[in-house]
Amino acid sequence: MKRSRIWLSVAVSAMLVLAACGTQTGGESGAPGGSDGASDDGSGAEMTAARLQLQWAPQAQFAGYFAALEEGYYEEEGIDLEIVPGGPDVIPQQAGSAADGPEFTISWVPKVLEARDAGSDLVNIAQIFQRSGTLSVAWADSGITSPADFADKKVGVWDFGNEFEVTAAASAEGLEQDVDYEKVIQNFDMLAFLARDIDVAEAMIYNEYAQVLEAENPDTGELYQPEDMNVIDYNEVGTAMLQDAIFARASWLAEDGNEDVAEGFLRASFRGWIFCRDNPDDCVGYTTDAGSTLGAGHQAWMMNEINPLIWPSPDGIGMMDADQWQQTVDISLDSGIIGEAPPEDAYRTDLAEAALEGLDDATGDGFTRGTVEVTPGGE
Amino acid sequence: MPRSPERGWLRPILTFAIFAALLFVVWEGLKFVGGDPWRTETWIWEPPLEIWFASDLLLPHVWDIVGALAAPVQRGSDESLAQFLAGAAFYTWREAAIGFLLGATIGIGLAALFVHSKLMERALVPYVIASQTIPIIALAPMIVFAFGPNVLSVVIIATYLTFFPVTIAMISGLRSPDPRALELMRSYAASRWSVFWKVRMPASLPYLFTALKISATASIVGAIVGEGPGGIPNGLGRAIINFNSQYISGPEKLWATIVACAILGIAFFTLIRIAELAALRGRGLRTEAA
Repeated sequence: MKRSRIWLSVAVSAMLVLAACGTQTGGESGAPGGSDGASDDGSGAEMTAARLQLQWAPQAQFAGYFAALEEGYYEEEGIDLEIVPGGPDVIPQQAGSAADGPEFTISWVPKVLEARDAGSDLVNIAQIFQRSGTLSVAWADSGITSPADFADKKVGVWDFGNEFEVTAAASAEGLEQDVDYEKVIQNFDMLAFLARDIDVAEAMIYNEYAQVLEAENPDTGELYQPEDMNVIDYNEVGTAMLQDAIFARASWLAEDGNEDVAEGFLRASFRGWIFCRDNPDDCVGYTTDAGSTLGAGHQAWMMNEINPLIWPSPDGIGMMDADQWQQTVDISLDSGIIGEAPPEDAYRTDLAEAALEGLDDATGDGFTRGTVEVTPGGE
Repeated sequence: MPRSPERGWLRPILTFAIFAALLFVVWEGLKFVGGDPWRTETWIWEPPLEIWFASDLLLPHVWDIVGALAAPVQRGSDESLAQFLAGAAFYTWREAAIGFLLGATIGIGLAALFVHSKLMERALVPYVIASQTIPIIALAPMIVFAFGPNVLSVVIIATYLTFFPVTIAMISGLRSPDPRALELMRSYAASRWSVFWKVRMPASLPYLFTALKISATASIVGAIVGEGPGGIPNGLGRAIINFNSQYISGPEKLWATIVACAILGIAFFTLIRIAELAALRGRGLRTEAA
């Protein structure tokens, strides 16, 4: 009798097993495919498999790649592309440096310079963002309007190599960290700023800055307004560092035929970004389809702010601005991110140049930024 | 005096409901006296005091949390946040359940080994204990490094958090039989195997289920924590990370996610409790140890 009850509980456990087994077949979407090299897509044409490691979770920051995938641009180049999402625990330049890692990686230039110092052979093959999206924001009533005003304030920055535009600006004003101002490591949210635990907060123009505008001001019952904040733009301050760029391993590029793959990948990606410049609404849709759980309103804002970081691209999208590269290298050296200047082959423009040939309006000379309505909660 | 569990269903539910109502009153009461202004179309209430944790940012209104659950997860989406979270919770539960089963099996196996071998117990128990003092947030990234960012890593992390309570409880449980029962078995020249199955195992069941209930909730924590470094986009772990990063513009969404985690934990616990009732019915008071 007692036995049968034991078996009943065994039956409950068996139920658990059965339910659990579904995970193994249903849960593969999170795992990057291990396929490498050439593979047959089944469509008849010779397709080359390649992976793109994103710098962060899917969001409009990467809309151009989602668009190129959905519009079939990669397929037209014979590339069967898998987009690998990043996230809080993914270090893209580390993933992309591994010999069996993704063929293409989106990362920020100073972080890759640092990785190169540690032995990575990642090469910048296209500088997508021509401008930095980093801001510092302060409340309007704080009187802080420039880095010179950081003196005696609590200045929030993100660590993991995201802080150098802010700290370099402060030291250019002769302010010494933790002597003249207090550097506070900020979470990847704006809670400390809203709670006024810090006087200045680091914010990406396309993300955290918008989050503040999407939040309700308890004093008014309305959303926070742009007038409530002073914004410091590091492109204007002169300590901007180059951000989103496409990287590939030199060792991978050196293999026979891979430069052609890279050129095709760049052409498709450039076309994706041109598409998003001209059809931002469609790209917001592609982004939410790509699995972003951020609100569509927030993505629309992000798309609208990403475009001006890319456009206009005076020499064509993906081409390196040598002055900006030098500025990024100089600040990296001064901040101790790297010990010595990178060699000249840390970036190359020949692949981007070849990819640009025959592309229409790849500079976006006439680009003007759009406007989007801020939505409460980014919905 | 054993109460029959069948008659006891209504009272706990009623107690729970009353307590939930009380919590609601305290929660909103705090906000009423010390929170941010309450606004409707025509009416504003300015709370007289200022209690720092009662702000809308740190302690959203209960109806805002419920409203967020009912609202679409994204603009234009057919799916409500509640449906989204239910799906995420089910996904996380399946990872946790595999980890739980593996962990329980390993735990029982280790305990059986230790009970039969003093040497093994002395040699290995310190490592078993040491394993639990390593914070899972330190270990999780290493497991992901070793096994790759996939469901397997998450399951291993859940297993890791599960096996320990089972091991420790089962060592006691397998040692719990009346010495006279063991002597009797010995006088029958019973094999170790039949002593194990006929005396030790049945005697250990109350201990086992106590441990399993702890492990059930721990396995869910393990799965949620593991989903971050594991890069699993479909579970509660990623939902927490996402809604955490958007906290200032939607605090009620993170709260709603926390509610989903809590419900998942309670549901898994209840499932084990039901299995326990089935296995231990007729043993009297011991089954009451929830």
